[in-house]
Amino acid sequence: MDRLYLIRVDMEGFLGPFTLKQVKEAYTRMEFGLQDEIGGSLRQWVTFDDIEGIRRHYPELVQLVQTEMLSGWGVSTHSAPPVSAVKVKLPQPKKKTNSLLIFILFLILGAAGCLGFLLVQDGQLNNLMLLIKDRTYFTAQTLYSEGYNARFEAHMDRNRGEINQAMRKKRGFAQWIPFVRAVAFEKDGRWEGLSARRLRGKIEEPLPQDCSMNSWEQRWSASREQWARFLEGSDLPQQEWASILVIDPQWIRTRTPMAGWIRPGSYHEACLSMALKALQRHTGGDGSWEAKVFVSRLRWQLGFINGQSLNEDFEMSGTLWALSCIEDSHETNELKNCLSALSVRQTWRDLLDHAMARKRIQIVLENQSQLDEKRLESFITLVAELEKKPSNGLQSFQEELSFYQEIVRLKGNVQQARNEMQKKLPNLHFEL
Amino acid sequence: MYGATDMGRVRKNNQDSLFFNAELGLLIVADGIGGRKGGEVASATAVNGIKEAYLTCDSLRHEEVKPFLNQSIDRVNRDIISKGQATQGLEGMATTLNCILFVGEKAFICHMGDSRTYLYFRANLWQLTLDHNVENYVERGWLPDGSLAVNPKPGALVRALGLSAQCEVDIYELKMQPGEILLTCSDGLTGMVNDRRILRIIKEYENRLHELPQRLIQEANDAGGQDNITVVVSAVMRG
Repeated sequence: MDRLYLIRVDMEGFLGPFTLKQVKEAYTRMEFGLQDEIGGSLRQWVTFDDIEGIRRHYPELVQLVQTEMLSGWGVSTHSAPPVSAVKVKLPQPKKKTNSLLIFILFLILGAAGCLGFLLVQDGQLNNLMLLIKDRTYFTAQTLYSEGYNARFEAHMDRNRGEINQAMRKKRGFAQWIPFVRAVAFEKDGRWEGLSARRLRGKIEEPLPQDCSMNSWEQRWSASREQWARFLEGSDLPQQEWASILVIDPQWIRTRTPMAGWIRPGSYHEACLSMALKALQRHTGGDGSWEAKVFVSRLRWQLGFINGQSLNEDFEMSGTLWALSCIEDSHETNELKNCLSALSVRQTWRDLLDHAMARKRIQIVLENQSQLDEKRLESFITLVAELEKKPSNGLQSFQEELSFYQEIVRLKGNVQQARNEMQKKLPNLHFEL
Repeated sequence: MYGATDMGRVRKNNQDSLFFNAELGLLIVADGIGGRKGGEVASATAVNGIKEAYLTCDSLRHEEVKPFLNQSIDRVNRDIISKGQATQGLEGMATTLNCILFVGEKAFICHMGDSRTYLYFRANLWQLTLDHNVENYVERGWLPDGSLAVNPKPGALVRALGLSAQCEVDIYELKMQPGEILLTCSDGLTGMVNDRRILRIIKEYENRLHELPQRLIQEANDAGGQDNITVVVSAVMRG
């Protein structure tokens, strides 16, 4: 009986059980890719791009993976020939010692010591070690030191195979993943040889597992019928396309850059950027008014996260106008106008109320390092109100609440509370 | 669909909960965690919550299944957390979940924790779900290397219903064909009986599926029955 295999695609679905022949046929139909996993009966799941794992667990698949899958992506699959166990007679060193030689050796060691000291002083020793140990990574780091550029991208593309190989080890993964994410999300949100889930990393918030452009295009295409009701406020579907549009950009900015991300600064920003690109591609720049509002909203969120000046005109409407209006307000009076003439369902009402409650607190804190008695009193009331409101279910504002509680505890000393929080949560940047 | 649950030989109560109904095309296995009473309540809340959500919803199209499961599970998660916070003795309760919804020819398998679903086909066995424990997370690079040093139990759960307000559930889609058998079970079985032995038993009982859950439970009990054991088998009949 033929051996059977199952293929796990994108950690979301299965193909098979297939015979080896059927696996090959499915690959030619492009039903799975390098980042997907194969499993035999009672055998380990191995990703196709893990050539060593394939060799060890599925030697019968090596040919398929090497000749068809990896070579198609310019990945070197050449293995070093096995070293034959031939004994080589080495020339015996002369045992005669020479005092002059010892003196020269001391001189060399002394010079190396001095050089090392100077390099350490100058902070260059790490770079030198890196250059010796990992030339590819050193080059990537050097190229990226001037920011994202074409030469950096070309270097990453050219060395994709080596990088994927290095990322199989945990240390290599931690080292390379920020650069890999930078390139992946500059393009279409994918890195061939790495699953969407690993590209994403572990994130608490319910963001999509896959934020590639293709996946976003599918989401936009499948949800088109719901857009108008979403903007009118008659529906707030718990779907990924709706979640990304209502995600709070201030929350993301407070947490940017996240560990493992350099550009974009977080998976949240990466998803927003891919959602925007995909929507523009999907509607071809000539979309419905709903699409135009969505594009505006996504551009608004991205601009907010990056602290860009948002002077341009945004074509906002309905619920998304209200939400952006709240986020953009700097005075309590401005907030009142945001919800006027808007009649929405309870789910939308809860979401807008929560955003409004957060914004009111931010307005009280704006440009304040110490709250006076009156402000503190109003602040305490607002924080108590926020605590009672149901969460928006998308992001946890627990850290923000802790910050506010710290301000209350320190009797309105915002600056000190911020410093205290900075010690506890160094990755968060609470703005004043 | 056939299923059974058993207390095992050591535990004083059964914290596993189970529901299956072939006509509805739904099966749910949950293994509760936390305290003497908490585990029971958490797993029962999960099973009842999902069952009720399914019974009250209209018929689902393929594309509606994942949003439905995500929403229902999210609601159940919130229920478990709020019950745990509101009731003394139930603090910190949580539960694993393995739930399969059959829609047309597809099975939608949703999974959190370390209860498992296996696929059996022509004397082959695959573990479809990935245990959400520290060991697997470190292995896949989703948790830092040091996590195992900090947490002495490699099998400690990273994801389960009730553990966190943000619940992320794995949902797998599998197109079923005649002859395929899905085995869903709590870790009371897999902790006691290895995969090779499970495969052998399924092979032996392939044509007597109604006896299979009890047979597997007996095997786990014979091996010590250290935990509650729940087993459900579901199969697509040959046309």
